[in-house]
Amino acid sequence: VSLVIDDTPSTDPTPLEWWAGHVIAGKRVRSWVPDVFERYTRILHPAYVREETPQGIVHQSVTWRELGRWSGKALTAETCIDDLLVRGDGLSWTERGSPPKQGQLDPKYMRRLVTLLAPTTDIADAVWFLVWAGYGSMRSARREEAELEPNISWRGTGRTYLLFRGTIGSSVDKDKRNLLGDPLRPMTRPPSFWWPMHRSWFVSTDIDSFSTHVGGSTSLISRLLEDDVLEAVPVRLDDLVDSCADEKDKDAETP
Amino acid sequence: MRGKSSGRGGGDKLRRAARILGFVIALVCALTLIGIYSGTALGTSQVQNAAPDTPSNLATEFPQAEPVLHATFSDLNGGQGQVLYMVYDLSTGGIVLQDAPGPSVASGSDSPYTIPTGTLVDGVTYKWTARSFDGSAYSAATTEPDFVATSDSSTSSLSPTSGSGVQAATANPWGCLLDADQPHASAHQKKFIAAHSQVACTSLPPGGMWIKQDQNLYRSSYTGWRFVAENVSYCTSRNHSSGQDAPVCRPGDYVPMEAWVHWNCVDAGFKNQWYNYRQEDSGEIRSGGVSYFAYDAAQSGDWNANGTVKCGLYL
Repeated sequence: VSLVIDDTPSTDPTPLEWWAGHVIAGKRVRSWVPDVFERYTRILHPAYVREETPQGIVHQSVTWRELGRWSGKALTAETCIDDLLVRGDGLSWTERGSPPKQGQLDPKYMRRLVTLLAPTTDIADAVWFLVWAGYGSMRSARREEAELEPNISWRGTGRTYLLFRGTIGSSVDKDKRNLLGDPLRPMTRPPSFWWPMHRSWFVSTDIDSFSTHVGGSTSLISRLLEDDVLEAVPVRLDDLVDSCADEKDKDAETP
Repeated sequence: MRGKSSGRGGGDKLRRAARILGFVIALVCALTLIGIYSGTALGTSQVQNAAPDTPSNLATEFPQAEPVLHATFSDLNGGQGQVLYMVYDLSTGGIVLQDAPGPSVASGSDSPYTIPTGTLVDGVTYKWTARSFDGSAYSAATTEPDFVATSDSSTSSLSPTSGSGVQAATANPWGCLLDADQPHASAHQKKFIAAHSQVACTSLPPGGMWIKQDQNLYRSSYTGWRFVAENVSYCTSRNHSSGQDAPVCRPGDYVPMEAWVHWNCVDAGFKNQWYNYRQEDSGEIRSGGVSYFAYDAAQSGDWNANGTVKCGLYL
């Protein structure tokens, strides 16, 4: 599969308009995915365990269910990763490995997700990507007139985005512009939001999030939930995205 | 006798003529004086001294420890005048400076005022307004204060220039870069401003690489960038990490180290306040007995511009 994003951001915000009015920046799933889809799912970014091999150190992915077994915690739709990374006896997962990637899917998961999305996406369709403008790797592409916010509720979050046009292809593309070209290498431009022109699905990964939320048809979400590679749980629009912090920060406010 | 009389009669005529001449001269002088006075008075009453214009081109500069307020004096009548400044405490409304005068300048010129050292209190937010004065009449005050600033007693010497870009740890064989991201309101730790930075390599680095990052976080203030937090963290060959915020260490991976610096702006008393933030990061990697260094920085906006990040958002 290939996932190609243009080099130059668009200055036309029109592609956002259909969903920008359906989200308000906040703490729930509906804050990050527009409420226009049949079903929603949360893809859990894998953690990693170190393994010494003759070829060197290898970082094997570990599911949240495995972390839950290790830490003795139950996995729910709202589980916060912090709770799974520490056991009752105080032992931290960092003694064995590393936590999940924040703000982007593991490359293996990303390839798998694109593979599952591709059949529902017309190859001729454009796919739109909103990439956080604050990434150090985005400086060369950054232009003030191209920086966008989905709507006013994002004001003050430190999140402005650049909109790129791209495509999803089903063929193996070795082009260096193919973000999935190297199965191990993380993306230099991990998108925070991406959706096809015909709006059949929507993917959201906030820059601070350890999981990715997807909205789509019942059949698409079912395929994601049943997939052998991805670890995904069903979620509802009112589920909390990061509930562990809710208990700690009761005095925090909505924007 | 007659001659005497006659002589006395001619002297009287002369004296009478002299008195008349003196009267005429005095009358002319008096009329002249009256005329001059009258003319001056009329002239004065015919020129209307219109009030000068409301100051324009408001700006605040921070060349030194204390801010300098700028506003342009202008008057349709031309001539000299000055701008008078009022500075007040935003939260209490208490006036700190009343009619603090800029220098007298020609119409169309800047009449700046430097706030004296010690006038402003650390941690207090101020606003200011200005009005023009031409020596006899005042303009209306500026309707919108020009700036909001929080005073700081300490001044950072950091350059207000933007980040220098992703920096390579020079000449390392793995193409490792130090890559600092922009600080932002954390969605994972609700009270915090967070900034992420990573070491990313274009080829797989050795698993035994030693890596250090020293991240410093600053917030904007009218005196320059103000330090708020530092995090020094390490990834060693054994993957153990240390520092205020533990980094993510993935030895031998394309991204062998990710690090964060956080600042609890809510507990620090800055909830709902807007600032810009800047991260500066110094990195070092060591492998095979050789050290490589790099520096990178990123910021959400300029130190003297309106803040773009709000403290205490609940994402």
